Amino acid sequence: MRALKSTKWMAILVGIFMPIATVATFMAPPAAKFQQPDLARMVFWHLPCALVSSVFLFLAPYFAFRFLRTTDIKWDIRAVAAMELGTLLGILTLLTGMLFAKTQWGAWWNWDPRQSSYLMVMLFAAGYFALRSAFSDNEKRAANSGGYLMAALLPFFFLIFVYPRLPQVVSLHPNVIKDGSFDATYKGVFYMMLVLIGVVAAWLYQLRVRAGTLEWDFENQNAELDNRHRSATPRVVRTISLPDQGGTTS
Amino acid sequence: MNSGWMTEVLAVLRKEARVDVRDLGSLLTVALFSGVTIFAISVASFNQQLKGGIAAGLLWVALLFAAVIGQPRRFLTEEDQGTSDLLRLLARPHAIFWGKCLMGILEMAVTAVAMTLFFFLLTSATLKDPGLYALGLTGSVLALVGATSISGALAASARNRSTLAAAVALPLLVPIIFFGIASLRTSLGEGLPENAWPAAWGLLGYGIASIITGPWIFSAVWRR
Amino acid sequence: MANLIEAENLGKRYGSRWLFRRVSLSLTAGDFLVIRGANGSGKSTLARGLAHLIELTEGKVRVDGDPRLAIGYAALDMAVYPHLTPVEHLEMAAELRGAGSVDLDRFGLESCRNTRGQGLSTGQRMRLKIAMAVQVNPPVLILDEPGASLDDAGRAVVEEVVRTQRQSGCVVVATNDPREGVEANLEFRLDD
Repeated sequence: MRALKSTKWMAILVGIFMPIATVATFMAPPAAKFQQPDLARMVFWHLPCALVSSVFLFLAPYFAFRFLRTTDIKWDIRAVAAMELGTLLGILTLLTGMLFAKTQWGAWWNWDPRQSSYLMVMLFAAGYFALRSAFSDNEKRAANSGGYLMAALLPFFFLIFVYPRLPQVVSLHPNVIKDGSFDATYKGVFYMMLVLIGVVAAWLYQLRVRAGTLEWDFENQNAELDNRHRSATPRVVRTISLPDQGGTTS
Repeated sequence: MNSGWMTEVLAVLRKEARVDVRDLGSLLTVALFSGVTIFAISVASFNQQLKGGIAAGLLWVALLFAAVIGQPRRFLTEEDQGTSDLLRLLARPHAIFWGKCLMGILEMAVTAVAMTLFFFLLTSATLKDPGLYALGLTGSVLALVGATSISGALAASARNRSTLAAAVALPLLVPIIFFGIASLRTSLGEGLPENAWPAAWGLLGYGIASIITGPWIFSAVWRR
Repeated sequence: MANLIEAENLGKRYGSRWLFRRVSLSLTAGDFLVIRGANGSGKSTLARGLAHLIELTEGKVRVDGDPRLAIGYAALDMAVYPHLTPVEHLEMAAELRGAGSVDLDRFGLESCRNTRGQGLSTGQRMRLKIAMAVQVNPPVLILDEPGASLDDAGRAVVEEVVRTQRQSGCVVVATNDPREGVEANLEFRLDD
């Protein structure tokens, strides 16, 4: 009941602030340093999507690591939710980036290093979901996809943070915060969009985790019902006691 | 009465070597594929002076596909032929991973050297910096084997494992492509050494990192 | 007498279906446990769980020391390397586990010592697997359908191995064959 109420409030808040923010993105004076200043407003959507997507893409390996340490399937639920949100926002980043590229540089795709590196990150996401779909056993699926995320951590870091900033890599991508393309008003609208997109993404993530947890709990309940058809009493070949001394347990 | 880990690694390595030598099918497939790829590149570039960048790109992609075809099978075969239980009973995960990786490195190193010789024989590419080339090739071999071993291990118990291993390996290898081509390109006469040497060292570091972290990932999925 | 293997509240689940649940056991030297049950009841899964080959959904299996040395396991559906001979299998197993030797004659493998795995019969492969299982004299020996592919001579080998094993260790056999496990002192049915 509480979950439904908070969902309703979130919907109301998003319903109020999203139109306000959208209007603000059109009202802000154009940023002078872009090639086509008036058509550069896509950056209000593009940059927050990229930043929030990166957060989720780095959260996912952390959750995967927690699953591999604890084998608690709830960490895997969080990992897959984070990857789904990270991928969705990553795709939006690419699409909005392409719109920006078309208006500013004249082509949808320029093989710009930042464009290319983010596309490669999306290839990782595709590999992750392909790997998950190849297992029917929950634990195997969680362990193997979790292992993949651990292996992907270094390439993620390299592709998102290192490669676009290498001195020998020449990019058309503006460094808007550093080179002062944004004035105070532009920055204000940008931060508002960042907060809004971040909140919406966090909300979707919570809903997704809740759905996954309910699905898992439902499966557990079904399993309990299945077991009731069999004898509920423990089957003991010989009574044991487990002294807590040395040995190997699994 | 337990083996040292080095003894275990060498035992797995010896097993892999024996099996490879006796079942030449896999080795021949990789050799044939590598040879045909280089041949195709040389035909496609017939009579043209290959610039360093193009030559490096073509050679590196050929290495990439040789690795993707040849390396994951070390882990896939255990599941395909049903010997994974036997290996689980006998060996620890770290020893299995490193033993198979070592054999993969040996095989990939021979493949890389053979492809290189064939490439220079059939094309007009020339080697300007042998030291940089050697470092770049070494790093490439380590990085390719590390990444494809991890992908093979992850896909081994999945459905459609052969196709999946290749699909899962390629994203892991994409960052390596930048380093690999950057280092080989300069050694083949294009680009600046001050950019290429860091790329070559980065490649080597990436390879070592994947081989070191691989056993930990492998042991998390090996017994499930 | 010390327990050689202890298992508490073992359970294995696939999806929402439990294969077995709340199984506990402990075995000491001289014990011979036979696990019976219909096809699909989970005998092999329980055997593999006891041998530390798979993760069970619930419960703990406890043995003293490294499971590779404490448990010997052989199963009908476990493969051997098609390109290695029995001698090479045993050498590899000895290297990996740090010790162990086997008299091939004891298992009727002397005549095929240099035959590669793909050239061995099903019965010869089973004997090889049993030879590898007892190579390090493990306290616990687990066999899954050991006699299914064996002739009378092969079954005699298995019986001899089980008798020898019980002198200082324990044996677990998972089987549907009524001829196997007749000397067992403990029986457990999975479909009860």
